[in-house]
Amino acid sequence: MESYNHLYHTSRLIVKYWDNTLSEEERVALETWIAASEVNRLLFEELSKEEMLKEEMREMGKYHPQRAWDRIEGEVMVKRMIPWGRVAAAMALIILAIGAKWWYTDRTEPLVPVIAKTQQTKGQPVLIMGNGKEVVLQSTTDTLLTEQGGTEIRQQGNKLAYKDAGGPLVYNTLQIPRGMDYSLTLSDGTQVWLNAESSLRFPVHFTENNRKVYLTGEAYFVVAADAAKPFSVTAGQMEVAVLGTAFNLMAYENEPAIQTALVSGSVKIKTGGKETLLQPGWVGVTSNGHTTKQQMDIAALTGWKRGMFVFRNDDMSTVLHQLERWYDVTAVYPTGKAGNPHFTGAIKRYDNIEQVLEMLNQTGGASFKLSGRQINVAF
Amino acid sequence: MHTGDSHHSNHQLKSLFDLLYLRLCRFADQIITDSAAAEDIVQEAFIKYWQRHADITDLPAIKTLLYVMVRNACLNHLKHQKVVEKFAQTQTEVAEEAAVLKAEVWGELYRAIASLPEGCRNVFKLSYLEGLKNQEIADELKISINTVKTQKARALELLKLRLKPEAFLVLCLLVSEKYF
Repeated sequence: MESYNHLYHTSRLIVKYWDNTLSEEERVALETWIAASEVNRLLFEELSKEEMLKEEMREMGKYHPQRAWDRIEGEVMVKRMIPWGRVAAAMALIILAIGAKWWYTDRTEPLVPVIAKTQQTKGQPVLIMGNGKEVVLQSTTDTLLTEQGGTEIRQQGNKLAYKDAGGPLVYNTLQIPRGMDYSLTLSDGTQVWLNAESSLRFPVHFTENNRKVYLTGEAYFVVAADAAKPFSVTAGQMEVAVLGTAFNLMAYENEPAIQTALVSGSVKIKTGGKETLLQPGWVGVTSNGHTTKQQMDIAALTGWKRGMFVFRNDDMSTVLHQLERWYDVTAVYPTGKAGNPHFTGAIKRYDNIEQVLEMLNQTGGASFKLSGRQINVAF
Repeated sequence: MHTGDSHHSNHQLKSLFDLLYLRLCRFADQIITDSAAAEDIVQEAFIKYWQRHADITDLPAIKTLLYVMVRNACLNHLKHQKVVEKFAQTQTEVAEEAAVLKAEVWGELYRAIASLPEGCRNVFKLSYLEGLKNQEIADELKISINTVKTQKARALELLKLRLKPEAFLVLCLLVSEKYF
């Protein structure tokens, strides 16, 4: 087989040149290589130019490693799982003890935001304006609204953006129904992605020395930096204080705990007079007015933003709640039963729920049947 | 089903992916100048490598295998696009080696920069990549000019520490496997 080892050696020398850490011996080796041919000399000239560094860093930044990894992980695992699926059918008891697993491939680009298709017509997102007026947002027509004080609200597809024009403190509420997600840009430039069955209450213009918003459900925030006006999200009895950061906050009322997953920057979680400081990569888990820190797979927790369901040893109720919110269905399953299967894997949020249930059935860990708008689960 | 074996393997594949994905994309992109197709090709190469050649554990050998798989897939892609004759004229061994060398150097530098802590990275990007002055950076990021200066110094310091030979990373990987 061909070998590129000499190239790896040369590239290491050039990286060290950039880094200014060449030893005397290495410097001589690099100079010898440069002098060996005109081609080498021209190559080195290109590879040591700051202009080229800038351009190449920009080029490198335009690929999508997270999306790529979702696909590779899914595809590699599904191939690995096929023979296991057959064995599993014969050893159902063991599976139930260890936990079922399924994986699927994200072959196509995720469409975000996206709308799930089910048989019946679905709810529409609703914007409640400062004067209490309710506006139903149609993704097929673009709309331009104006709030008191002149703030412009522009709606395009499944996106809403606020343009700051000063004025009094007026709150709007955006309610997203089951079956879709939505993106919102606040007047300060903060971006919010709202997951299905979620709502956010926020000022159309941030007046005082703070930026306070209120969440039910789940949202991913990329907060615009503004040290003079700290940003905070209130969910139930909990408040998350931030200064310019990205994080996912899951606060559905039917989940046992609120999860604050920090992607970058830093946030402070305030519960019952106590404060918990989070570092990137950590998740604050809040239940019964108490917060603990845990290290979890952040990319998995924010999978919904990339159009994926991603499970990491999640139990039946966690999995079914996500299906209920996305496909607007109701799930019926045995509770309090021993051997509740757990699921690990990544799957695209398909247009069609049948495809998802089919894959869940293939795990052999439980059976999922759809009748009308109800999923019946047996295990 | 969730055996320790598959878990550590998956972890190992992820480390390889983190190390090599972007530079292989850049390599493919140089050949076919289509960034979406380049990403597809590289993803398929990772999947194929893992299904057929996971027994190879020597890093330079893995890298070479991936480069060769990506190169062949790129040439196939061009054949499909019926532009192969045009490309064949420019494609020589020298051009191929140059493409590998570029991908390696820029890929390694990108990794070093991307692994800087966020505050540092932003300052570094604005200053060295976008050419802003200290005061402009301070305004842009809403931080003091002194913070900009310290972050710049820190970025350069960290950059030196982070450009370790990749061999080190693989060594860590092999050691850490024992705990899975």
